[in-house]
Amino acid sequence: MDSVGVKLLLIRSSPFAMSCALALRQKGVKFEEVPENLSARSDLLLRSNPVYKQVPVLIHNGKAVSQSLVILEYIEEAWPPSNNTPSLLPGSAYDRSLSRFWADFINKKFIETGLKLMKRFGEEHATARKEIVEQFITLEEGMRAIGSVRPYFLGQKTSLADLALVPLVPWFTSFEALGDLKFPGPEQCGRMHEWLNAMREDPDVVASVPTADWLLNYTLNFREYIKKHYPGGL
Amino acid sequence: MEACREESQVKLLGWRRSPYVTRVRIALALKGIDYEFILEDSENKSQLLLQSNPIHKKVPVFFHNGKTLSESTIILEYIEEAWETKAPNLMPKHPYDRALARFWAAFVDDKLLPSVWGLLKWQGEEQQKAVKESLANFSLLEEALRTSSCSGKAYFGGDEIGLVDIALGGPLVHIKNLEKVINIALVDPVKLPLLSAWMARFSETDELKRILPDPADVFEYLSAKRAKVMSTLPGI
Repeated sequence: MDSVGVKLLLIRSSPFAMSCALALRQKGVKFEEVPENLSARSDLLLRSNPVYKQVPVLIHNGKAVSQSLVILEYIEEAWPPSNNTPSLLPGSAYDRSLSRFWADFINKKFIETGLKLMKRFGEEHATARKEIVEQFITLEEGMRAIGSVRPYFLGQKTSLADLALVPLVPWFTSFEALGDLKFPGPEQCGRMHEWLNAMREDPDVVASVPTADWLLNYTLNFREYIKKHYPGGL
Repeated sequence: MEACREESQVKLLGWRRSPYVTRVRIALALKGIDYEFILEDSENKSQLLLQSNPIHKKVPVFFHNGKTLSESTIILEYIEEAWETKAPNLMPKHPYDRALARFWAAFVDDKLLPSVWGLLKWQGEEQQKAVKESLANFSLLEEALRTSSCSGKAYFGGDEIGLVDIALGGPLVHIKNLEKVINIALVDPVKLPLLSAWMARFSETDELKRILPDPADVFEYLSAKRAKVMSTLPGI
């Protein structure tokens, strides 16, 4: 398997980097995690992602791919499914679209709303508090609408939707603390909790995300920092 | 000629002026896929729209064999995959080239269009900032056309129209008329020659002329939006 020189530029707290790290592990690709400092971006980061100057960036065969959903699809195609290599996307065109739809919703709505809990204040924060719970319920309803096969979004195997949602595993605790909220429990959102439990037990997931405690400490400190230096929000 | 049974199950919900609906119509036209275009009232969302896209409540909504999809770029990839053997292919073959195509299509949605639509909202210093940002985004697209896989080729997709061309082509009439409404050149032929030539070429493509929204209709729509914003600003 061609894993020579695969690098993932990331920061430990980035939800989008967690998705990419998990995808690489699921594919069995050996890669180097290159921690970045977003207050002092490396030359490598600036050269590899001049458009956004953001993590994650995947470097493979000397070429850089950025934007997490683009990276995930690239990982699927550069290390295509085979007897030894699992697929990250379902087989049928429709199911593939469904996994893309939910991955897009998770990234653009759910995760973004969650990050606002850390970075915004006042009315924006209040709105985010409300929305994140609504979106959590939307995810529950989405899973149920797709079918009863569990525990993953589309059924028995993980797909882009699960990869996109994996940051929730450590961020669950942080979102609740930052928003002073409680997500609905297993009685109301059984599928989401089943999903969380399945992911927490997956060694690839555990290796790809920080612990809930580490992240809680990080996010609470970062929020204090933002409050002090960017009182209008970041 | 009877449309094949599979294709008669293709429906698209939307309105002609929508840049996002236009993207899907372009892809269907290029692939030669027949479909039923269900016209939606842009001022009054129908039950069908709200039921078939409850999460985003937006057009386009795409139906194929009884299944429903929304989000224009997701629909574009679906059309490419469901009709993979039907030429032309809208995506390149090589994984890295496909990643670039997806990257730039996402750039149009995540950075370019928000900065462009934002131009309707501001004036004065805020407007200056918004214009600068939009111009920077168009420059990035010019660079993308200039480099490696696209260099010397007619389209972002190479010799043929591809995902990025469609992503940018959908809102093309809006971009050109927004320039007129705010009276600022966003794609200057001297500063952005490749992009400018691409825009002319895309607009003049025979198959696409009848699909692109009516410029007068779009101009009127954008002017009205701008007038509304200006009328709510203090001191006016």
